[in-house]
Parts: sequence; C-alpha cells; structure tokens
Amino acid sequence: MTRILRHLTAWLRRGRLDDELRDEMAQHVVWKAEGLMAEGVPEIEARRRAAVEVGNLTRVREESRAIWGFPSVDSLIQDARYGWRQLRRTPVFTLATVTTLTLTIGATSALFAIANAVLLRPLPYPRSDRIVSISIVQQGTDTRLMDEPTARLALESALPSFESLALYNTTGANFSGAGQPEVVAGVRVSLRFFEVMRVQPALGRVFAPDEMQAGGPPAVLLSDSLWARAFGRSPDVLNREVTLDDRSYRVVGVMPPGFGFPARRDFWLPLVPRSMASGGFFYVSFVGRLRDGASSATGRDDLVSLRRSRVSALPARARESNLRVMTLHQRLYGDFRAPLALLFGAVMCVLLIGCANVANLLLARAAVRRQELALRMALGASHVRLVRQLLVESVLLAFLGAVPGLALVRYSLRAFVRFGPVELARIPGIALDTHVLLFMVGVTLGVGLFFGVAPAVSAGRADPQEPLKGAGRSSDGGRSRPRRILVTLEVAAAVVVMIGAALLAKSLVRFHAVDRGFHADSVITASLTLPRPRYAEAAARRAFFDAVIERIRALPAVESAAVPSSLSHLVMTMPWPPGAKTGLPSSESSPIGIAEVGSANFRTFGIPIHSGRECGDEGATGAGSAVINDRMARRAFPGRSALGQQLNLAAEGTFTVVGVAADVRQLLSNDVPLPMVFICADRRDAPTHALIAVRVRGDTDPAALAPALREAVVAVDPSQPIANVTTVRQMLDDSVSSRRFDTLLFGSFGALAFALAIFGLYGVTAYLVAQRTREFGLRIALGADRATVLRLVLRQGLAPAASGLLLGLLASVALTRLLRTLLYEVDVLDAGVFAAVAVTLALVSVLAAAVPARRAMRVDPAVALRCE
Amino acid sequence: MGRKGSDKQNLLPGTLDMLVLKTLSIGVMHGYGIAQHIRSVSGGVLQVEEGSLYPALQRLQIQGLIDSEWGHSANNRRARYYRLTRAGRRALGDAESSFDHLIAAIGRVMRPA
Repeated sequence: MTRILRHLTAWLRRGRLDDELRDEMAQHVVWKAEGLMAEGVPEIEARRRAAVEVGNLTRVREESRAIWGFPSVDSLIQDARYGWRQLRRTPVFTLATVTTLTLTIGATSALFAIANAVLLRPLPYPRSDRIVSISIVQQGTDTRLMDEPTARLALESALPSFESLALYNTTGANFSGAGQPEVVAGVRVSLRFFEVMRVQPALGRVFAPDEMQAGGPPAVLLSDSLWARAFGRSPDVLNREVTLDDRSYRVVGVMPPGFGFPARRDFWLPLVPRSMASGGFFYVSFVGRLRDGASSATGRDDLVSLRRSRVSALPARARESNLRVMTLHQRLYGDFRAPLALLFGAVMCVLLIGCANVANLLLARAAVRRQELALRMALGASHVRLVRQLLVESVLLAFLGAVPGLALVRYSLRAFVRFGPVELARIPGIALDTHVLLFMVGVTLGVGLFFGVAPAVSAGRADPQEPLKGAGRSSDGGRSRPRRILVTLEVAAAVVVMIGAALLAKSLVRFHAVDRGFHADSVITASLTLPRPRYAEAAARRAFFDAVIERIRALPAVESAAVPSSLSHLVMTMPWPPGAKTGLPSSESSPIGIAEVGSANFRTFGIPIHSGRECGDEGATGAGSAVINDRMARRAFPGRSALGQQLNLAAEGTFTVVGVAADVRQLLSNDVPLPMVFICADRRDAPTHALIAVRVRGDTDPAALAPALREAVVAVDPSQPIANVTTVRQMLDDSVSSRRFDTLLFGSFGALAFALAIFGLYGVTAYLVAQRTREFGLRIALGADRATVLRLVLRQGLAPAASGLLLGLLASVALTRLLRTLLYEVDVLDAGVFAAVAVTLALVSVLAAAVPARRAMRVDPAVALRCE
Repeated sequence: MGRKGSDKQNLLPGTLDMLVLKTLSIGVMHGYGIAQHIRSVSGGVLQVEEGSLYPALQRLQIQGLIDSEWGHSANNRRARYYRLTRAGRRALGDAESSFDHLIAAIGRVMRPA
C-alpha cells in the first residue's frame, strides 16, 4: 500500500525527480573526471573518459522513469497523443465519425436518462420496494381501485404479510388561508398512511387518532409547495387555521419537499371511517407495506382468505371480484415500461448502426495506414502495442463524440421536460445526473472498444513486409468482406427501426382520423366544486348554476352552454357491475356506461340525436328521463323503438327514454363505444362538483373565452374559483401526447438509422471504387464497356444492401409484434408499411451506390494507370 | 557503458542491490561514493556501471529500502546522499544470510571435502 503511494508520489513528481537525477549524474561525471585527473590523465581526456564511462544519460533517465511510475499509463498517454495527432491529420474522417458518435451516444444516453428516472430509480420513500398497491379486476380490466368493504376489513384484521395498510381517496378543495383563493388537489388518508409511506412531516406531526374520528378536531397537513405558496415557508404556519371549501382546519404539519403522493398533492386530510353498516359500496385506493419475507403473492393470498373467512361481513359484490397486488412502482410507472423498452431497443439499433459505420471508416483508414503500421512493426513495435494504439485511438474518438453528446443530452432532456408527454415529463428527476454520466462513460468506452476491435485486430495480424514492398494498393478483394458484412447488418437494423417508426406513424394518423362521433373543436370546459357548508342545500346549488348559465348564455360568442354537464361519458366509463338490473336479460352482464347530464349537453358537444330529443330543463316532477345511445337502444330494445320505454337501473332508479343519441368514442382509449345511458339531471338536485361546457360560435377561438367564464362565475359568487379550464381540442391533444411522443422519437431514430445506413453503404461503395481505380482503368484500357464497369460496381455495392434489406424484413416480421400494444388499427405486418420502407430503402440505396459507380465508370485509364 | 577489462567482473544479477545496501550500512554516501567504495573494497574487481547504479538507487528508494536527501560534499558541492532505512537494514540482513547460504553451497560443490 505504502509502496503504491510511493509510486504515485514519484510518478506525480517525475519531472522534478528527472531534473534531480540529471544534476546528480552530472556531478558524478565531474567527480569521476577529477579522479582520473588525480591519476594523471590530462583534463580534456579525463572529461571525455568520464563521460564515456558513465554512458548514455538518457537511457538511465528512461529506465528510472519506468521505475518511478506506471509505464503503461505513460505509454497510454503517449498513444493518446499520437492518436490525437492522427485524428487531426484526417479532419473529414474525424468529423464524420465524431458526428455519428455524438448523435448515437447522445440519443442513447438521453433515453437512458428518461428510462432511469421512470423505470430504474426507486420511488422516493424508504424501502419503497415493499410498498404495494391493491386493486380489483373487473371484466378483465384493472380498476386500480379497491372495494371499500374488503379494504376496511383488512385494516381491522392482522394480516401476516402486511406491516401496515392504508386507504386513501383523492379530493380537491377551494383553498383560502392567506392570499389568493385557489383550487388545490388533496388526498384523504387513513390512519396508517404515513407509516406505509414511511414519510414524516418536515414540520409538525401527522394526524392524532382523535383527529381521525368522525366529529374529531379538523386537522390538515400541507405540502411543502403549498406552504411556500401560501405562507412563504413561515414556520408559524403550525396551528394556523386554513379554509378548505368554507370549512376551517388547523394546520398540524407540513410534509417534506417533493412529497406529493400520489401525484402533486397539496394537502392531506384524515379519511374518517365510514360505518360498515351504511351499506354503501364504494371504491378507494388501497396501499400496504409488506413485511420482510412476504411478497405480493402472499399478500394477495392473505386478502383472499380474509374475504373467504369473513364472507358474512362482506356485501355480495365484494366476494366476486379478483384481487391484484402489485408494487407501487409498477402501479405508477408500469404503463411506461413497454414503450420505453421498445424505444430503447430502437435507439440501441441506431447505436449499433453508428458503431458499424465508424468501424467501416476505421477499416478503410486502417487500409490506408497499413504502410505506417508496417513501418512501426518493422522498427520493432510489438503487435500488442500496435493493437493497443489503434484501440486507444478508437476510444479517443468515442470520447470526442461523447463530449458534444453531453450537450445533446442536456438540451434534449430540457426539451423533453417542457414538451414531452405530460404523464412522463412530470416525473421528477429526469436530468443529466451521475447515473446518466456513468452510463455515458460506459457506453462510450464500450462503443470505442466495439468498433475499434475489428480494425485493430486485422491490423495487428498484418504482415509488415507486404505493404512496405508497395503491394498495398492493388486488388484488395478479400479485405472488404468484413465491411460488407457490417453494411448488411446496418441496413437490416435500419429496416427494423424504420418499419417500427412507420407502423407507429400510421397508427397516429389513424388515431387522429377516427370519427369520434362528436364535433367539439369549438368547446371549452371548466370544472368547479361548490363548498358544502355554503351550498349544503340543493336549491342553493341549483340557483348558483342557473345564474351562471344565464350569464354565460348571454355572452355574444357563446352558441350553447351546458351546466352541469359531464365529460365522463367522453373520457371514461366505468364498467357497470355485473348483475345489475338494466332491463336486459338477467344473464347479460356486459358493461354499460352511465353519466348524468344537464340540458343542451348534446348540442354543446356536437353529438347528433338520432331520434327523440335531448335532455331539456326537466320539470320538477322528478320522473327520471334519460337519453341512451344507439348501442344501448339496440341492446335493450332490439327491433323496437326505444322512445318512451322504461329503463331500470337498480340503485339509480327507473327512467323513461326520451331520446337516442349517436354512439361516441371515448376520448382517451378511442375504444369502440359502450352502451350508454345519459340520465337527465334532476332539476330538484344539483351536484357539488360540476363541469361547465360551452360551445362558441363559428370560428371563434374557444380558449379566448376562459376569462369570460371566470368572470361569469365570480359575478355570481366572488369567492368561487374555477379549475381545469381547457378546450376539448387541447384534451384530445393531451390524450395523444404520449402516442405522439413515441411516434416522434421512433421516427427520429428511424430517420437517423436510415441516414447512417445509407452513409455506410455509400462509404463502402466509394471505398471499393477507390481501391480498384487502377483495375477499372486497366479494364477500360483493355476495351471494357464503361456500362459494364458501372454494372459491376453497382452489383458489388448493392449486394450488401439487398441482403440487408431482406434480413431486415425478416427480422421485422419477427419483431414488430412487440409493438402491438402501441399500434392503433394497424396490423403488425401491415403490407403497405413494409412495402413503403423496402421501396424507399432500395431506391435510396441505388442512388447511394450510383454516385461512386459513376465515378468508376468515368475513370480515365491514363490517370488510373499512372496513379501507382 | 563502461569498458570491460578481463580483471573486471560483471556483477551477478541481483547482487548490485545487496552491494549498495551493504555499502550504505557503513554510512551515508552519494552515488559516486558508492561506486568508488565497491570498486576499492573489491580491489578493483567489481565495476559498478553508472547505467545500472542509478536506476538501482531509484528502485531501492521506491521500495523504501533507502532514503535520500540533498547535501553538500566535503569540497562544498551539491550532491544527493543516500542512507539505509530500517526496512533496508532488514532487507540487507535477509540478503546477507541467503548470500552466505549460497556461497557455502557453491563452496561445497566446488571444493568437496
């Protein structure tokens, strides 16, 4: 250990040590000469003999240098310097490779940064791998929620697999405490929620047991960002009263920065237990922390046997559903796994193509450098040293490419966070951090060695005599084989990525082009929540909505408005639980969607009414009426008119069908429409949470109406904020943002792969022509047809492209099925896409090979023969 | 590269380090002094080449067997003086005993009793 230290200090001080050694030996020579003079040798002769006897000073210094330091490191640095000089001597080559490497290493690392933040990094809670999310699966779809009776039962029981369990419900409120009132998102959490998360408030405490009881003192926890917004991080926020929906709560704590579970939540309230006897059947979010040694599977077994042993305590519906237990990470980010993995595969293909290109360029250069290498070998350089020299050069090249790649990663990540798909870009920690840097260094090293090995090994094997004898430039057929294989692989990889990109692009076009059945381009929506205490009475709510809608309808730009309306039939439909009495044959258990809508809803969203009428201002009779869609009409009343029929929806009541509306696709999934029942909102009641939908006239920009909407609401109730003001067009855009992102990224990778492969093909053909210039000259001099030469070059140049294309098509047939989940109404083996990619690639390949081939055809025999 | 006369012996490999250590066990000395000492004590038989001596001194320093510092010679010239360290003393002891074994063994072979 101390010896290594001594080595290191000696190595670091080697310049000084060298000087000292020189001085010391100079003194030695002086003494030696003096000794000889004392023996009677004349001074000049004595000096000469002393110098000769001491010998070659430089050699002593070199030997000592090897002793002081790390000779391998020194010679590595030497190799790097030499390599740098070599690279500077061929700027075009260097620029081409460095650009290729910058793009490929940069793209790979940027994608890694995203994948790292989303898939690899653990959630920011202690031992987060032990946190699981528990949900029920209905009709094959994961609801992401748990039925409340089972969840409550589990909280009260001791389940061996779980350390703690908690349920929560997301909520929202109009917050006012200090400054501007705003709509904030929050969560109601059960007693042991913070134990499951293992997160403690940064300030204050979590809820006390009495605060978790119905009728207990109202308490709230704030997020760090709400604390900063509303209180400027003042520590005396504790025990202050804040107002949420007109009710006042005492602040008992502030959570640490960055904690906003489940997603950017700003406050936490106690989830006061609901009595089991109330008979309601609700859904909640359910999380738990597994004990050491327990797994998701044992956790699920515990819950299943709990249900079985307590059958009598559970409503019938809770016994039927399937349970699913998965890690919280999987629940939150599992959906991104497949697309990111596919994108990563695509970018790895691009990286491989880039490497193959650089290897090709290096092989071409190695052929040019054979004389230099042979000379060095003849002068005594060992094979190992030469191979190492070449590897050092290629790694150096790789790092030259990686440095601008850093900037590329930085800027593309910044762009991603701003413009990327909302669900992904919001994930914290997408940045150029140490993990990404380490990954980049690893990839760069790996890439440098990978593309350097083939040229280096082939150079190390070379026979020094042959090139020195000048035989280097003549026919060189055998040597271009590895280059042709590389081009074949490049083209194949490019075909795979291009086909993937084209399939996604076609899906995106299809997705946009689909007829959703409604025309809502000129619709703007906003949501608002009426605080309970002030609007406890339905009449008060009704009065509020009537006043607001009257003001909005009076605006000149407004064509129609619906308040309260519902987007839920557009956005998502919960499957109707099986066994409900829908008027269908009792065996029928397919899901149907239910939504409550106010007057003018269909007109506002541009949904055609096929027969009957839409919901109007239903009278105070309360005799429920409803509009159903075509599918529902065909299902429930096959072969007869649905108008005037009675529809029995179990708990919801019985309704008279007053109209049949067109089928409408859901906004997010674009799935085939469900059978739908739109219950006309009862005039005697009004929801506390409502959506305002407004259709503007002609080609007015709906987004411009936002301030007027706010004014209309504030004019009725000055303390009432509105939230989520957005146009339907914007919602549609957001809903495809992740699809668009996948397509855009895959598309850029496809374009890059295509460009690199064509570049590689061109390079190989050009090299072939350059190598054989003399031969072509000779052929032409001997009377060969120039067209024959052209055909020869084209055939040789295009052979690897053709085999690559074939290989790529075959590989795509095997690989595109991985894309299936990302495609929309496009077959994984879409013939049009395959053909388009094949034709494009074939045409451009011919062009790429034709340029050098033309050069070969025009070879002047006189020049060619003289060029030796 | 010193001349090699018939009366001057080249050193056995590995013995130079031992000779340097032994010489330094007498006292602090500079490089020239070490060479001179070995030559005169061996009656001019052992010629220490400077080309080997100075690398050997560097090596012994790195190994921590000797230490050096700059000083002034009797005639006031700047020179680097070498001195044995504790580790060097121990190494010299080891080298001496194995050398004795070796010499005794060679002696038994060369002059059987």
